[in-house]
Amino acid sequence: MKNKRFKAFSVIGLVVLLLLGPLFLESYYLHLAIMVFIYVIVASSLRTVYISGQLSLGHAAFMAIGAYTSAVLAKTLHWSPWYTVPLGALASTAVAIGIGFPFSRLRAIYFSMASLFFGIMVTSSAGLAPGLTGGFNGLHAIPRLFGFVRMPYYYLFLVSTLLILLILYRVEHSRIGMTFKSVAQSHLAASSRGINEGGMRILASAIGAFFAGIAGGCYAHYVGFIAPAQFGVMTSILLIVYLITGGKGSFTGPIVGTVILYLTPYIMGGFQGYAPFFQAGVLIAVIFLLPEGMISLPGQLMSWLRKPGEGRRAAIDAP
Amino acid sequence: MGSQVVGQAVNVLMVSSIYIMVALGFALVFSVMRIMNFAHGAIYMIGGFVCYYFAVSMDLGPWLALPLTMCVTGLFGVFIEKFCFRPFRRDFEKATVMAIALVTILKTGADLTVGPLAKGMPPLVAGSVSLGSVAFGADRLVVLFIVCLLLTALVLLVRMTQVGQAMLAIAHDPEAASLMGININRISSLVCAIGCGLAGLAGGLVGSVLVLHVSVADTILVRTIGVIILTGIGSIGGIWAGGLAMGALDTLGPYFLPFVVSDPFGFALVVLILIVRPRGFFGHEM
Repeated sequence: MKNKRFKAFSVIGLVVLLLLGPLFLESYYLHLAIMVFIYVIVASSLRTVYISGQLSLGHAAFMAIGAYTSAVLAKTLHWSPWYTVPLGALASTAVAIGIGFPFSRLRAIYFSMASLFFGIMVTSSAGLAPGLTGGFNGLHAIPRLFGFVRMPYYYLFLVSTLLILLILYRVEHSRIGMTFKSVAQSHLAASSRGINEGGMRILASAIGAFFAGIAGGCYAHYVGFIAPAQFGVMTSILLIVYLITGGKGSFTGPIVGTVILYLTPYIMGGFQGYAPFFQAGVLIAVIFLLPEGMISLPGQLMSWLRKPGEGRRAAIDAP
Repeated sequence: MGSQVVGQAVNVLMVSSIYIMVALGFALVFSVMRIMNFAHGAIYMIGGFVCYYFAVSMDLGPWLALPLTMCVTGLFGVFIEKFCFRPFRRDFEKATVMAIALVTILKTGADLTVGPLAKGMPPLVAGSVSLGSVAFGADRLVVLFIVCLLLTALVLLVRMTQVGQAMLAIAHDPEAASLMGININRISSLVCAIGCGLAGLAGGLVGSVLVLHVSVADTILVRTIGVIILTGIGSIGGIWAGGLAMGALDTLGPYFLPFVVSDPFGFALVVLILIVRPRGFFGHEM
């Protein structure tokens, strides 16, 4: 009970901090915060796919579909971004369901490989219609949501991130979320209980793709420029890295992972060129020392302080 | 027309042989350790730069530089197997994070030391060979010859020797192999050394024909995974066919289709194959 109240207080405190923060921050930090919001949405939606037992290596492709659909509609048909972003998300969901039928037959590493190639296919097909999508050079001058002032973006994306996180949290802790986890744990046991394994996998992918599509649309109408390379293989793999180093076993894992890993290159300041080394060092340290991800750091620290040398056992006992 | 066909055939064979060499190393590491070494492309890139360093900066010439490159990248393979991948053997997710950390380090290191400019190496052999009415660079034939020689040696090693049989045994069932007295750690080190050595050598060979650049790491990695998916895991013979198909697609695609079309369609084909036959054309059940 006490633990629950502490959690509720810290969440409320964080929200208040996020609401008041921009009043004291420079515009550049607002930009970083907005980018973090976008990637938090994508990484958390990737986790929804992940809990159904599918480690997708092409999740950034759904971001690309959302971004491109929304941007092309807004630019060529002059529709308002307020309508095109949800449309982009729906397009991304439709694609996820379409490929879900064949892909849900693949398990474990075969699914990962297929999704990796799906990601490459999507980004390279942007080159098929250079007139519409701008080809590999990217699409410029996408209509923006609010012009060039960052403050309204910050509040819009903050609210939508919180809303999406709430939805994803409810999904994960609902009956559907439990079903996803059961499919991941043992597809045989799940199907013997009458669970439609393939259908659940497709549903998880569709939910993940919808929110990734929203994030992609937000990105396009905030930055104003998109190119295939921004949603390539390396972005997809980075999302996996955010998820696993943050802590794949908990809902807060991908959020913590995204915030820390996205910001590490920027806090290095004067050592910009060497920042990737630092980031790689963080990755290596986390997988060696914190098998459950960054979110297990406080618990691990406590156990190390209490009894030196017992850290390994604590890591095994951790939920 | 005829001359063009022969010239293109040589190009296809050379590109394919490079793909096959890199993909074989990747597949060996995958089947023995069950990890996807996403750093394989970066090691290929590093191999190219190490070879450039030996051949041009230290002025040793390509013929001494190539074996040295293979030794350096092979030793690097032993190093990463022991310190990076051994704790995460058969743990796909953690090994992926580890590999991404390695890729980051290698690429940033290359960026900082070599810089963004592309490098070129002196050709292995000067001059050209003429076959009837066609002439093509002799260096391409030499590259092809070296790759064929090494790959034959590798196939013989895997098929004919006890070490090779041990590799196959671990790939099939590591626990049973370990019960039969096979030292899994040692064989894993060897496999990683062979894989990385071949990748590094491929990078060096390509450096003498094409150019060296940091960005080749991602390109070759994507191609390698394509070859692996096309053929399925666990088949060494199949990789030859898959590599040839991928090389032909990359070299000849732009001739028949507009350049931008060949890429998505090639990958669409790969995805289709994966859906119809998840094990790949030649793969075994895992």
